[in-house]
Amino acid sequence: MRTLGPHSVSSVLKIILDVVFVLLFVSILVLGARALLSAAAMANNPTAFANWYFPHTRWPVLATTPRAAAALVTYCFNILASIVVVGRLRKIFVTLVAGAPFQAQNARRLRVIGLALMAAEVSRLAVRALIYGVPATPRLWFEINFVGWFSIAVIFVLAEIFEEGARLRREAELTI
Amino acid sequence: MPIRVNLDRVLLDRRMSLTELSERVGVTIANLSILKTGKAKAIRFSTLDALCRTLNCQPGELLQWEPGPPVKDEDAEAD
Repeated sequence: MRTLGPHSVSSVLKIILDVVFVLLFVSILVLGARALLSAAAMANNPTAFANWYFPHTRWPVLATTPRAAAALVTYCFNILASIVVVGRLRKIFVTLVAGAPFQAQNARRLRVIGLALMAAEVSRLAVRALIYGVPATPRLWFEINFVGWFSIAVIFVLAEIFEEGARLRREAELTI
Repeated sequence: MPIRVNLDRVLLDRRMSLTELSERVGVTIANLSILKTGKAKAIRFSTLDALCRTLNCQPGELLQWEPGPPVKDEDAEAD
């Protein structure tokens, strides 16, 4: 099976990304509704909803404590970042399915993906600091996702590679 | 563009149309237009060979350097 072009691996992955994109939108709507209801509950009578749990779980229906609210906001932020990442990936895969991957727009999209992942990682560390407090220095090193940060750096390098590929493609088009 | 392509003049001297040149050289009319209007970034030696062979001319008759500002990197302009 080919990697690029119609009916290739890229077209299958594009379909998967489309489904994930829709699911992420549904998730952000659900979490957003939960965040709004939690904010309303906290403003009016937080203790009234403190014992509401999802069936057979220990997950509260509404986030009525500051820590739970902070976690909910971070989950919303992470899903928004995921929507940005998956949205840009979908547009990149449109160009892959068309068989023309080296475009300057793809380099810009990869940089946006890198920035979104950075923001998600920073927000994850921030919420852990909010929930659990800033840990002692040795423990902090275990909180940082080094593989994640390395991947983000690789994405920025890939963006430069796509930029160079787009430049070479433009040059080849104007070479008679 | 400091490098000027004198394709129009050579075609006129040889009494040949761009369409006929395109068919004989194997380069599309669109690409020949890009070449003669100075929009091309580079020309392959194989293309230059085909042009000179068909038009019975030297590369110096097709290409001419004119003093002027150097060609800027298109990528810097695009950014």
